[in-house]
Amino acid sequence: MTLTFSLAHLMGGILLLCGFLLLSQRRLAAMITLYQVQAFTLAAAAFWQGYAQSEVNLYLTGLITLALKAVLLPLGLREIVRRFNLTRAVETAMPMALSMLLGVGLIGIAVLVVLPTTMNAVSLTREDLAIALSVVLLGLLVMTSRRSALAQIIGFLSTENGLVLAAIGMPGMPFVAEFSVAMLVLLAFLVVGVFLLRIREHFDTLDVTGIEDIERRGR
Amino acid sequence: MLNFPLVFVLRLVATLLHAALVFAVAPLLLGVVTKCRAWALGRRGPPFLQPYHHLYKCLRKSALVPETATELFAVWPVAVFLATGVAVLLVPGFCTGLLTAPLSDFITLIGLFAIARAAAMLGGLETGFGFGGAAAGREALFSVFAEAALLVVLLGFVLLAHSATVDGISVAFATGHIGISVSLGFALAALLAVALTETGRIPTDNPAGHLELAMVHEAMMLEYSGRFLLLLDYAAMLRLLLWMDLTGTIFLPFGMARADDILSWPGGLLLWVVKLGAMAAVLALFEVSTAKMRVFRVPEFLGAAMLLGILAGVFLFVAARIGS
Amino acid sequence: MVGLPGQGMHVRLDALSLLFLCILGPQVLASAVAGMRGSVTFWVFVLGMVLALAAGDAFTLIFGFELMSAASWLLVLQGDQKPAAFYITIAVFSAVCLIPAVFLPAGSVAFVLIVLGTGAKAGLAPLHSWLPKAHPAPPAGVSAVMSGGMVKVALYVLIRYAFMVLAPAAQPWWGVVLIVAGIASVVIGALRAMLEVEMKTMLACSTVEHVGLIAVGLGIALRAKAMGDPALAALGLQAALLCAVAHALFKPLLFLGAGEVKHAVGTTSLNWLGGLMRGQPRLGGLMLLGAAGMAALPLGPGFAPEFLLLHAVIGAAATGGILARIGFTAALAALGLGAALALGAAVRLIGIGFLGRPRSLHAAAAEDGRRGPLIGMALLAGLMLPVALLPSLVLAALVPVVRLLAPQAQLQALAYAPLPLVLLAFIIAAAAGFVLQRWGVRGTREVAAWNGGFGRAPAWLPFGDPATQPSATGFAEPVARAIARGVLGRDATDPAELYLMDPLRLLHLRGVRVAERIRRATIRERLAFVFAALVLFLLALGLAEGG
Repeated sequence: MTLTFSLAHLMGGILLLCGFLLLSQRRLAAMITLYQVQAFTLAAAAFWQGYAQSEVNLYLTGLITLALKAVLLPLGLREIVRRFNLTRAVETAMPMALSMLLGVGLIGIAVLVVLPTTMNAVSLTREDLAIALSVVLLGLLVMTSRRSALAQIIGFLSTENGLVLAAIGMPGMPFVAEFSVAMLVLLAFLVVGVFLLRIREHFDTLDVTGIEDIERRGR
Repeated sequence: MLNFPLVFVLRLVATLLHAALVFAVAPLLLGVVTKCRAWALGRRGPPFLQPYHHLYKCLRKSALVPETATELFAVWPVAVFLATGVAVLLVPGFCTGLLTAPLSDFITLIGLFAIARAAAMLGGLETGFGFGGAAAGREALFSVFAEAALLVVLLGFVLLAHSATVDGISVAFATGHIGISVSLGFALAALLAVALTETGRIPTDNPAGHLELAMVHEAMMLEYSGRFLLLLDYAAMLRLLLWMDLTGTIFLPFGMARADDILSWPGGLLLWVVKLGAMAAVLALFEVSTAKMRVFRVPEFLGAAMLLGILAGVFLFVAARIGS
Repeated sequence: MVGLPGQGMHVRLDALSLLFLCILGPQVLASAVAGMRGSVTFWVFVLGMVLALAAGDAFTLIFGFELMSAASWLLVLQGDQKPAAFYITIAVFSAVCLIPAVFLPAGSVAFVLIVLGTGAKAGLAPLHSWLPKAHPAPPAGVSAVMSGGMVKVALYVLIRYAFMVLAPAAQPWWGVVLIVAGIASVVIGALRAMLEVEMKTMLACSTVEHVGLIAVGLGIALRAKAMGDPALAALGLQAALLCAVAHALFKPLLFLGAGEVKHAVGTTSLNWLGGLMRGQPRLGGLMLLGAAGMAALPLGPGFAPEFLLLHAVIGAAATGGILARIGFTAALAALGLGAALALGAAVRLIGIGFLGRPRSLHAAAAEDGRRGPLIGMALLAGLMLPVALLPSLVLAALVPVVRLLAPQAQLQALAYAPLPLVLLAFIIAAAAGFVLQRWGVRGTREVAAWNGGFGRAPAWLPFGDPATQPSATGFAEPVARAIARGVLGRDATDPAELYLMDPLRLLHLRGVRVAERIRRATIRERLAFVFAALVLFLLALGLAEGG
């Protein structure tokens, strides 16, 4: 087991840990911090993979991740929190214990899915794939288990981190794909930011329960 | 290979040295943590030797026994102290291969923690007043998740090290090519969460708290004074050292001396002191940067630790190429 | 000669029977000393158990088993009517499963019937909900033998069939069935033991937990044996058998003690007890020993089996496919939960019942236990000593049984040694004692409790205001709030009660209504009924002939 692999592996583990802890957090500030840690780790992982595979593209990916996700996005998110005064705990749609249990179940499913399909791959790559898939699933779970729109956005961003992790782990992934994914996220973030402003104007809250009510009435 | 009696004598000396060191250093360690915490908050803090003064003060005071207490009032502090004392002798400190190594099965250790916890809870219920009883009930709740988390973490260690004794795990992690793995990272996070709870530190309990309603560990010993308080406080200090030793010996096993090799002792001792100091500093920094949780958030915190332990096991199974 | 025509009844003793007779012996003796020796039904009950354990053929086994059921039903009936009806229903269900099972050829059907039949009698989840109702009903001596002995007889039948009679057809999934049922019993039993307020009900719930522990050990052994892993099989069997031995000592002790509390105070509700250690020091001391066993604390009798069981689960997690491994990891977590909850329950029993201040005048005026029960309890406590301090010796005595059940078993030495731990504790105690003697101040002064600076209670309340003391319910409140409402539902009803027994009761009610409707039918309706049956019969006959 070489240092290259074990370090990459450790970073994957930290990413997953952050993803899991996102599930167990109630406060937006803590969620943003966790997301930031996750993005920093992802950037470090990208740099490390770039060094290991001697790919310049991966350094670029790392730079983009660092600048965009680890610095800019958290700043923006914190700005939203400050502007809307969202310092209180986020309403969860399900009990915390249940969402954490579901999270463990999802990770188990990811492991079970990855295992048979990659039986002949190196065990470390298998583990990395399982981690990436788990991060994606956990992000989706955060999106479904939170009522606050902002928490849902953080879940979405975490999902995207998982995708990038999978991409940088695979040698030969073209840089364009990652770049476009990153741009997509930024766009999505901008759109959602504007969208949030609109929600706020109309409903005085970021809780999407109100919108759900209207949807139900509309049907 | 050295001849048998010499090896035995060396191990005996190492064990005695270990015992003397842990019992002597434990109060100092608490002093260092308190001092670091005060520094981090921009205060001067009590002197490093304050815990020794406190213990001596307790020693020189006569004990007050509440009139509603039963005959067993004096038994519980002794039980807490003895269980913690035995446990601290089992966990290797500066060197591995102590005479107590064969006894140091992790499950025995968990059992000794359980004795200390049960005795502390009974001590809280002893006088029959609200604070002690409420704290004992909370402790019962915390222990449920803490014990489960410890057991699943242990599972990961046993599978990696092929040994269930703390000593064997430490030796395997120091010499074997375990490498860095996701499982160990998860196990570390889980173990630290349990350690913070068991030693009664922030975020689950506040050792410097003054509100009886919010205390857990301190509230159970509210009625104790004099030599009984000495035993309980000393046990708390030993417990802090014990958990640092446990974390250090499993996750930072590098540079640990071997009991039958006297030349490796100085290096081991030096590194042990450095590790303890570093862990004390990290603990202090962590404490000042977090807030205490509400009591009913703690089960979530420890439940997350337990699930992390389970995840550690799951990723271990993935890495071991099982399921073909 | 009684028995099947031409065959008679046979008695045969092998190592397994002898072990369970040894398990049964002390508690029967203790109960007899404690005051049950005058009851004929009690002795018939014991006779049934002995017959079942010593049976050499299936008929004798069933005969003894059913004699035990019937006699224990009579004993429960003497205590309380309502649980007795529930109890006899379960006993009949158990018989309906067991009687065909023992005459079936070896195979999975027979195994499932055996597990249902013996599990219902032993209180294995999900067929356990009768046990916390029925066991506390009779007098303490009978409760003691029911909890400590009768469930063991049921487990004996399970072991005898799963490991010996049906062994040629053994499948790994048989073990999994036992493990899953055992884990469910451990979690539900321990959780309910933590929440129950009645002392005897609480002890019965703890019995459910221990039956679960034994079942997990047996399940691991059964699975390992079928998969060809003799070392693990031996470990699982050792854990299960040692747990059976230990439980047969401390549980009757606790039940006898609960009987004495009932005698002295008039109630066993923890919410009305408190401070009993003052008036009943001998009873309290013995109960403390029993509680240490129940909580599986080191240096107590319950720790060595728990130690072996946890090691067996860890060993099992190192074998098999990934799903099985993840399952065993979760099982380990569940066992950890169960162990900590059992500790909480034991602390609650002693801390609320025997320490603190009296919660009623009866508790304040309680006098120490009667001579007979105390002697019985002391006997059991004395026997606990070797199990607690020399578990290796007990395990050595169990070797023939393990060899009988798993012939290829590889036995390993126990890694837990209590005596060196005692030695270490003694050295530390001596050193601490020296320091305290040499430099310490020795005096003690009796004062009013500080209680965080609150004022003293008025003089007309000699033990302070009972309402300011945490109750048993209050002590369990954090656990109830954080765990029990998630696992057991809002008002902490047993899931077996909710999902199994209540639907069955509903079905029973519907069936009764239908039957009643038929019974009340007029003559014309009855004639129509017979006529319709005749026509249907003819129709079927015609179709069968024509086809």
